[in-house]
Amino acid sequence: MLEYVLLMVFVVAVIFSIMIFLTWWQITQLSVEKTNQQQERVLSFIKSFIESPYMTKENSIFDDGKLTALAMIPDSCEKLRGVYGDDWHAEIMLMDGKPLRECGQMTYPDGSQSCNYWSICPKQTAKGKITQIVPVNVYRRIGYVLNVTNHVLPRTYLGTLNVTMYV
Amino acid sequence: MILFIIVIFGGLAVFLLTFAKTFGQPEYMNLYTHNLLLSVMRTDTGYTDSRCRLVSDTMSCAFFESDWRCGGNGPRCRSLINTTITGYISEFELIQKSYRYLLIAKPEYLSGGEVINPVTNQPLRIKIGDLSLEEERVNKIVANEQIQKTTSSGPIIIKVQLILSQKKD
Repeated sequence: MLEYVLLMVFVVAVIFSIMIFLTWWQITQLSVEKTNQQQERVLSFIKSFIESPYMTKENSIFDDGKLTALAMIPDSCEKLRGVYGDDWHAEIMLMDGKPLRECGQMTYPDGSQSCNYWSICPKQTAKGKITQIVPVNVYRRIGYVLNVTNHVLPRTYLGTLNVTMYV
Repeated sequence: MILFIIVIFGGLAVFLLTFAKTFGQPEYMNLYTHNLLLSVMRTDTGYTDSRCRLVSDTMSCAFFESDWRCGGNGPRCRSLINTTITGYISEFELIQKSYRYLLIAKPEYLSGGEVINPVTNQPLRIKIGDLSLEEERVNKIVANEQIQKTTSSGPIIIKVQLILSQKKD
């Protein structure tokens, strides 16, 4: 009789373990699914951003003139949010080895006021965020100033696009 | 017996979690690798003469005019392509910390044949990075690009491949 009771206890314990495990697994899967969907959202955003005619010269090549113009238009962020949705922040940085200096009305591609960083839409304070970084190019109309002829040549720099999505 | 059940369930959970994690990132890394190769090829080297202006120009020069000195008395194309690509790729934090890379470039005629080095009688190749990656059987992320150039021997396509593989911890 005691053996049957022990066996029953054991079977019930196994059934409970399976139930707990399956519930836990389901919760974990939902969490993984949510993270994957968020990452897919960031990727879709990046793909459309690097093709945006508002900011790029061609696919993945940002135009510094367009970026600086965006930084100077007061309601540019609202307009971009109308296209790309809310809850994001983007930064484009040149990899020129110089300290970061934000581009705006009072900065220029060359000389002592040179800049190498554009911030598009302000950062937000949210609990969760996902940041993805991809290599891009930045095209500057004023790239080289030739000493002999004083000609100005454009230059394509290596850079990164950092996109943060707030979740 | 209870311990036995816990061990089995624990093992199963770890296995399932590993499986879920492995398939979570490939699309991002594909985009990253492709954009890395494309961006590096389109970046200026710092020299303004037409043979050395962009990394892709210098790549072509390294194959067909390897003794050309960029900027008059600067480095030779072959040397510049090595230092520029190594320097540019190493600037990316993700690569520095977690990935090994190998860049392979090979010129081909439009008709499809490989360009042969007349001295060594071997196909022309430029390889930059971790050479062991080419033969290793590990998970790799691969991006391909083509550069079209016209040389004295006719139009050429340079096929450039970037291979990334995660560093082992």
